[in-house]
Amino acid sequence: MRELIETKILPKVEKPLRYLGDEWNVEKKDWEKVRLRTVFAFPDIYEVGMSHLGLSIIYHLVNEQKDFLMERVFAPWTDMEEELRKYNLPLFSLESYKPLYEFDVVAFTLQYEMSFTNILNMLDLGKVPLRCDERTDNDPLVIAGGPCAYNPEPLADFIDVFVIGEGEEVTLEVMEVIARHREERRGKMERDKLLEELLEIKGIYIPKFYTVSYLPDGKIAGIKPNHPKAPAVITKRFIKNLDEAYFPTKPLVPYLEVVHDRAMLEVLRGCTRGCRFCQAGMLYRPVRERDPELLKEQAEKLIRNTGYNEISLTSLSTSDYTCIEPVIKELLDKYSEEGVGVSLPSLRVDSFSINLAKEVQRVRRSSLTFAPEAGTQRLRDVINKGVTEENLMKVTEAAFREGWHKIKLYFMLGLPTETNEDLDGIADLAYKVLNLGDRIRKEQGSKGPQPQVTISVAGFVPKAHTPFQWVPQVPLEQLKAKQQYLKNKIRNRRINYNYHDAELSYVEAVFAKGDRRLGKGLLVAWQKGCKFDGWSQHFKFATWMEAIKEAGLDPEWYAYRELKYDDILPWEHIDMGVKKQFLIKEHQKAMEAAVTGDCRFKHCTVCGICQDLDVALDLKGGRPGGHKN
Amino acid sequence: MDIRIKYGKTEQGKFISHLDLSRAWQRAFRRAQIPVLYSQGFNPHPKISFGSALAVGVTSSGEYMDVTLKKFIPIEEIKGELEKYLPKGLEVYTIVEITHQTPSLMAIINRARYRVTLESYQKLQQEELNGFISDLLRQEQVVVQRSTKNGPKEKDIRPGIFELKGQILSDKKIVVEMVVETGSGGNVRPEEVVSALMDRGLPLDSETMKIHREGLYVDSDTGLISPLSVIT
Repeated sequence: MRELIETKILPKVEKPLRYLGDEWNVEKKDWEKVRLRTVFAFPDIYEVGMSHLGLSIIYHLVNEQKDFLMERVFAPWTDMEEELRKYNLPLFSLESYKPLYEFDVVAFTLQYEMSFTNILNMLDLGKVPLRCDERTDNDPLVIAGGPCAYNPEPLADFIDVFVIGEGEEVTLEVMEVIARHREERRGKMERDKLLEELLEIKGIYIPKFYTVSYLPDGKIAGIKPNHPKAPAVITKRFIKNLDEAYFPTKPLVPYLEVVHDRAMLEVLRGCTRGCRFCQAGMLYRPVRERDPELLKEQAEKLIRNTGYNEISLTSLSTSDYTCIEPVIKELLDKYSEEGVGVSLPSLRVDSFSINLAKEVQRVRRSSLTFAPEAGTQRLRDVINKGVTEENLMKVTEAAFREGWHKIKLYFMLGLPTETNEDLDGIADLAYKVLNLGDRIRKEQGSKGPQPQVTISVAGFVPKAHTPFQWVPQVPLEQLKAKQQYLKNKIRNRRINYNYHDAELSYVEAVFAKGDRRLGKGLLVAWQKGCKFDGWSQHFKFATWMEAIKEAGLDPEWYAYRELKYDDILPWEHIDMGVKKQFLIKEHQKAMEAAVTGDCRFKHCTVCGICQDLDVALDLKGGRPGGHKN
Repeated sequence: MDIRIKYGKTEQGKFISHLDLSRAWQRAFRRAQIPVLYSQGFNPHPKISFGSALAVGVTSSGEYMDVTLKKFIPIEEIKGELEKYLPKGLEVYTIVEITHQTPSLMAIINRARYRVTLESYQKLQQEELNGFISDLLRQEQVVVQRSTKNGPKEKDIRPGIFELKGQILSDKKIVVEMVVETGSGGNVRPEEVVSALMDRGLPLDSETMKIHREGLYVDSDTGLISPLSVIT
């Protein structure tokens, strides 16, 4: 098969390196010498998947175990899919070129609702039956994890087993149970029996063992286990101590330029800023930082083992890391001589200091991105984005003075309580930043390129497990009108205005808050040709609407309906640690534009994480406000 | 320290594009802890320059690059370390020290030798193949179509073909060897030469075509010489 693919197919497709799998640090293990063969399936193209730290962690974690192997497969781009279907070849893993159906386990990561059709397409291309109830004992077990597993219901028809929470520990537990099961049966699997055995592991959700009942009005009446061993509520798995968690220091280095083409070093996990729209900020609590000495060791290994010229200090909010300045300084002192730079994603305007700005630009300079998210202080208070206009002006001023000339600002449209005044605020901020840049350039003698501001505006999508989970999405036509309204406000060629496809945000909202019945809509959409929905050139809105309606469902009911606090939510049985009572309180405070502090700087907000789970806030540099827990 | 490296791209590496290639080398040097000199200024970049770019899908056993290192390292050590740290698909053959005065690869390389293997639709005789080749070489002009940014353009490749030979390898397998022009003076692509032969009636299956670049050369009074020997 490999010969045929390499000689007949790869020369014809775009970027053949997507399908080759000979990267530096690749793990190619002997199929005969392991107890379990798994494949990590990323439902988007290679360049996206290879930029994902989670893949790197799980892939190397599993392959470091003598007994298990994990290979990789990505969604083939449409040209490759065409060739595979033409030659009737199955979708294969990059390491051994084995078809998906030959693996014991196919493990998907769920990063984004709009990649769900790619999951079905990959299963189909890999000749794995799509629906759980169609799979036999000879088919692989299909498992999935990642943020979208926290509302697993739209995929309940297709995924045998969901893993809820952080994967470093639970992945190996799941694999051990499956390996043992097969050994006891001379390499065979008894699917139903295996699923029962997996119930022994905490954090495992097996949709088959839960019955969902509905009220006459379509709302959920109950989500009840139908197996005595299935827990009524599945609590997320988490890592207690980030210093002890597995972290790959010999990661894959692609030949192909990928989206994040650099070494990734995770400095902390979790964020308690408490932005009310942010799902990650709720799911990954509490904040756990990694020891700066450990980070330096890991950085050294990463640079030696990869040869990357850039190391990215990743997390949900890296400038919040309590030891960020000394760590950056030391890394730059040590490696800038070799042409290795340090980059920071996701900067907050209230914790990003002038010093930090100076430090990171010592080697390489790029544009700077900040996310005020809303245009007025009132709306920023509603969403609990604790930054002020003064913060933004101070930090952009510092950035312009230090030589950056491109500032990118992220906003959302369609936030709860938003009015035109808030949209005017977005345009005002863009102009203020640009004018500030012009003023500084003039002060500095009008040298260098002129300042530029990009405002990138996404449509707000209410997400499960957030204080805004009860909130309706702004209807499509209104969202489009808001986009146009803002567009008309911006009339300067040095302000770029980008906005997301409103129709895509609508379908995303349907699935973000969807229930088990939507599986049918998903299947019909895929059958009608939907795939790569997150790629604007492939997104077929009309087909999606048709498919959801053919499944007997109303997309507006899912996206536009205001939920009640006592409604049973489709994800009611998934416990991510933060209590529902906290989310309700946060939703109420949002409606009053009242802010909630960050427990790192102020008192505990009693979100439920440290109260109910055996875990605590872990800050290496001490608490910035000097408060004690 | 300035060095010139002769390297190759194997079957496994043939899909590495020119852009990816430069990154792959930079990473290999960094892993090997061989410090490459970086340019000063706004956006520092490593002092690495390549000879003629190799098309994606083509293997080669004669590619060249010049690199400036920050310090002196014995040639054997550089070679040994690179062999350890180069990714699959790239291999290093020879490294020589050059000087600041050595003319750049871009300035001197003007010939490329290719070996193209492919299958014919029917069994061919050596004389038949020779006939097609000498017919092509007799032409004053061999015009091919090239697609450019501004639409298709015609180009006469005949002046850029310096040697052309064919050989029957087995039943249907044939090999075409050629020396063609490359570099700043113009480029003749091996597949263009093969398709010119096909246009004249040679029954070849272009889907089976495998192209290998045997080397890049400098044309001189004494014939083709290696860029490794143009060092002053």
